Amino acid sequence: MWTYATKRFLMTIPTLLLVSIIVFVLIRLIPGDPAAIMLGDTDSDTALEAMRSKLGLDLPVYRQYLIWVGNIFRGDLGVSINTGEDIASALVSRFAVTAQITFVAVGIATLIAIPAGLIAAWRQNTPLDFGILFVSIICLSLPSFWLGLMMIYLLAINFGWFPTVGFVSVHEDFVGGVMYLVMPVITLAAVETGVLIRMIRVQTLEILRLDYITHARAKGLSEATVLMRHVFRNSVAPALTVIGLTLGALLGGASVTETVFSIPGLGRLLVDAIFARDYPVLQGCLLFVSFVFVMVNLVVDLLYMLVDPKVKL
Amino acid sequence: MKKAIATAILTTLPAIVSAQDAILKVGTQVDIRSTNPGVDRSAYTDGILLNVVEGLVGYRDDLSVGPVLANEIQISEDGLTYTFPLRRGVTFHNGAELTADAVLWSWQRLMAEDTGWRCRDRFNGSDGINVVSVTAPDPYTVTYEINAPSPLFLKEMARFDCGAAPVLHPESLNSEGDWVAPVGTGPFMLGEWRPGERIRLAKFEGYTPAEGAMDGYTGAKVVNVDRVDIIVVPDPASAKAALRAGDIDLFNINVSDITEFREAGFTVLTEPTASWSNFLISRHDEMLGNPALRQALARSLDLDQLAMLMGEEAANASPIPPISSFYTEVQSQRYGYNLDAAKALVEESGYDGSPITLTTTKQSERLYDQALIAQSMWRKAGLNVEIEVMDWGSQLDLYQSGKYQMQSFGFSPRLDPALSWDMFSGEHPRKVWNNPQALELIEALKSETDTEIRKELSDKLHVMFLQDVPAIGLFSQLDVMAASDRVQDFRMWPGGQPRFWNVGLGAAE
Repeated sequence: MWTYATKRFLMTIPTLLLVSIIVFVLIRLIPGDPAAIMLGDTDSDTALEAMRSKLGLDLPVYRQYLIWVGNIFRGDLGVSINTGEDIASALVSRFAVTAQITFVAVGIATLIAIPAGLIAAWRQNTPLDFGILFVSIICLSLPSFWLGLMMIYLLAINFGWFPTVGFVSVHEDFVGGVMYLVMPVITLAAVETGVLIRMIRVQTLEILRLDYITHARAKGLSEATVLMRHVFRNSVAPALTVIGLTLGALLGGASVTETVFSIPGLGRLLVDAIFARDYPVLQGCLLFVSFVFVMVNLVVDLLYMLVDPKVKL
Repeated sequence: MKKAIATAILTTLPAIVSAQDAILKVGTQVDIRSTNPGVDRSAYTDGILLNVVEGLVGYRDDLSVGPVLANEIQISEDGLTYTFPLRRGVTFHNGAELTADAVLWSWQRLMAEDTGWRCRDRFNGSDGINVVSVTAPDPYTVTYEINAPSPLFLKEMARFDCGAAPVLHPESLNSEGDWVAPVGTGPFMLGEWRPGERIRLAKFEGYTPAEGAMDGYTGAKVVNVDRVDIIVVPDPASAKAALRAGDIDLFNINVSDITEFREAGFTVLTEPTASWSNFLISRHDEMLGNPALRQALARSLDLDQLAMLMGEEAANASPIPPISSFYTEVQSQRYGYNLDAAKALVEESGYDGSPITLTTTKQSERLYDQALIAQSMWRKAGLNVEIEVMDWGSQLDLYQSGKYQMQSFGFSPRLDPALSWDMFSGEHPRKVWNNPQALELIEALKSETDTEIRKELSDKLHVMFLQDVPAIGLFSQLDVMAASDRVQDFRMWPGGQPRFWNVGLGAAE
């Protein structure tokens, strides 16, 4: 397993190099001059030229790339041309915020979806199954910005339970910080729960129809044993892939949820960087997100081995 | 990296507040860009930092310039020497006294190439005035000498985007000369900046207010709150909710939301500004080079109706804002809305119904809405205008290159007629008006010091502007803020920048 993990880890290097080239080139193909955006409707050509020069945008693209990659190998992702923030520190602090919401939301979604999906399949075509399916479809269909706003209006304005905007880190004030995280976590968890319930239900239905389940029941095993020993592990393993992909995508930034709840996470950093044509932040963010994605999926692959006995790495 | 260190230092400052602290909570859709006034800036950055730093002079409510750190402004008869006796008893946020040395140090820093001051070119002769010397005849007096009389010197000094040529203490920089944080003389100190999250301004207990009533950036600045928390709320819908919940006290809203907020019981404050909405017409487009077609485009727009549909904007075809003393009877003239005349002009132009592309962005509700309303008006005149929506960065790229047909655009405030006319006139591809006669008049406007002659020059330009139609002026924009019932005496002004002094907080109803 360790050999496999090491190989997979080393494979991230060429992957990230490739990503870096694609990201670097594609960003520059988008129309929009960062210097012009910074200066707005300026009348001064001198100021524009000076800004381009200051940002290194007057250099040939290949030189800009080599300088950027060279700096990355020295651990320097550069500074934001929009805010002057050190990108490495910005990524770490923004990722920490996004990770807090994402891990909790995906964790809650998984804890709800696995039993709900299993039960729905086990009780297929019963009112319980229809009820679970109905809830999952509702969760799936709700746009996260709408759900977020509704929660703000209901829980924050009407009941006054949570703050509407702003952010406090749980490291500074645990209780206060948690209050800021509840609504975004529910918003993200609701959507992901819907996806996972459907995924696990379908998977479980397929497994319940397999011969070895019939055989287990014929042996006289209780339904609980059949479900836990034979159905659960085989149903959950494929769902891990979806959980991994979801986690990777959300860790890359749940920009809509972050925007609605004014959370300074990675998603907002990325979106702001796109609008400001903040090349260094955009490059750093996308490279970082790619790295996170690869790592999350590596962990998921390794978890397969623990969950699914058929898998050997 | 250095800025990050500065930010880190600022963010680790302990926030010692008592439960009784009066905290004004302001929502903003955009964050500031940096803490370095006039260097790494945006319009919002200027506005926030001008609560922290001050210059020798500043704009008044009527957009004239008055003394701020100076006690008065003395101009020599030949118009070449400006003497600023300093206000006594003024201290920096670190407790040091304001003297002429600090003013000289600040000026030298601003004019050094490495500083990257946005307005350096405006004072070194390369793009405007040439400041020949800055001296301190005594510890409390500073004298500026310029090479030629200029009506713009004080206005350039007071410009928001120049940070009002901020007077800073050398401790604003570290020992290597790199920017740390502003140690200014303003009524607020920068307490904390967490990018993307919040900016915290703390009351400067040692502030010595000037005499006189509050007037723009001049006059008395009395701080009635202990702290101002500026919270970044990117989503306007969330900001509305936060206002309702009392989590923020003040928020800039769109003109289209005025009625909704009034009906919801909020105090809605409005103020006409010098920002100007318009449609730019590229001079590089062959079809739109047709003068009759340009006139048709202008005369088919009912500006009053357009301004009314936008909210409560004030229709204005001129780049000179109605709040300016240069807004004469002539400046109030428009294109003459007449649908029949517009149709006749369409026919005269030989226009064959080919699509005319109007570029706009949804990142600005104002720019998008004005395009939509105008499109329907143009249709009535038989003009086939198609709207092309893109993000602001892409639109600005086209603006710079001039490679578009029409753009829905808005210019930020230019507080002198010379600058107002200059902003879209010249030879650069982005400039839409290069009529040689107009350019001559603008150059004359830049150097003429007699106000009456300047008004005449500006009026001549407006008559030519209406004739040539390099752009279609629509309205002077309205600045709108919604305030909770807790906020007392928050005053908006034509400068548009937020001022947190003289604002009080009462108990919410």
